[in-house]
Amino acid sequence: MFKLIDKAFSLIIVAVIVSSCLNNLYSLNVREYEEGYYSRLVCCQLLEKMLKEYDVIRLFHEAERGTLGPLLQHFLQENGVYEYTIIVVEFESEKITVGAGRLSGTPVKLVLFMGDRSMVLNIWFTK
Amino acid sequence: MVQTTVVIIVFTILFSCTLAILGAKRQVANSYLLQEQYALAKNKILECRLNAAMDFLYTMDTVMLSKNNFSYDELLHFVEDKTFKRAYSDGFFSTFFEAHFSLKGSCDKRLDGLPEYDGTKFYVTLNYNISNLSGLNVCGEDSFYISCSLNFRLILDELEGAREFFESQLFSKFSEKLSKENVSEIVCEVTGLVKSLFNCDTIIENISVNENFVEVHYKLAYPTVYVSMFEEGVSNNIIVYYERPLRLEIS
Repeated sequence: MFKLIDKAFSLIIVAVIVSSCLNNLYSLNVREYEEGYYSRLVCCQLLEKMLKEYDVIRLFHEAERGTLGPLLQHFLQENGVYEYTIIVVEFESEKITVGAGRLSGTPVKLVLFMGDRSMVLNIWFTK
Repeated sequence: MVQTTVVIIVFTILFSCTLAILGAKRQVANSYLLQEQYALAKNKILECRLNAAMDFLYTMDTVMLSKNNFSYDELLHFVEDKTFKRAYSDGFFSTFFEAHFSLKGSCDKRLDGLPEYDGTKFYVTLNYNISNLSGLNVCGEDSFYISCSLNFRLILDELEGAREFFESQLFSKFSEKLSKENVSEIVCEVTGLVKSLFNCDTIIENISVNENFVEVHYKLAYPTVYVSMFEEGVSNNIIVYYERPLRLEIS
């Protein structure tokens, strides 16, 4: 009688544990989440700083003149993040890429409009 | 029997610890995810603010560069409360906003990311709805102010002041010494006074003198320069005018 209860008890425990483990397995890599959060937070901060420093209208003007690339490069170098940051600007049919590093994950995006024109800033921080 | 129980207890403790660790890890991961979503949502709210302001200012710029003469009423209509809406997506986030622009307000939070001008302050109430494919849905209201390059209030006040002055002076001078012969002389005198006190030119379109009344059709013109906020180095010489026939009864 005791043996039966014993086995049943162990079986229940094992079943509960296995199902809980399976449920939790997908969120094991906390480090990945931390890195993801950190890189997106830095991207958001960089975008905010960029907008404060050079306003939206200026960004559009520089893009129209074809000088947005050097401006963004200067911004990244000034902030010491050039080696770990990539910015891809989509403006009309052009794609302007600035920065260095390895592209991974989804970027932080900022979509801006000026009349019927739009500009999409994609930013990755990969440190 | 005892051995089995001990083994089970030990295993249970071990697995409980594993579960506790996994749970804690999951909580930490969730908190990172939440913070990340919060940062991204904050970024999208900033985007909403900027796009709302850009829509309003761009519309204003287009209108102000479209012609050279604006009536007082047109300008007045221009600074009346306005609402702008926009819905768009960046592939991951879907954004909708409705922004209300008004001259009235008391918010002292300026929108960063746009140049500061000495012109008119417009107060903005922004309602936004941001959602993404991860199930995030953020709705909210925000208020701030933006500035534009033209001082609408100054122009409207100047024209209003000049109109009041011109009409009251004509009334008082006509009531003092009106005769059909000196109508032009009085009008000319008052026109000179307006020019010296206000930044307005008075153009007399027509003066008609009848048996019972004098009708002065006048136009007050405020010349100014509109500097484009969006087109570099572009400005437009504009004239804001107020015109109407003024009828003065002869007793």
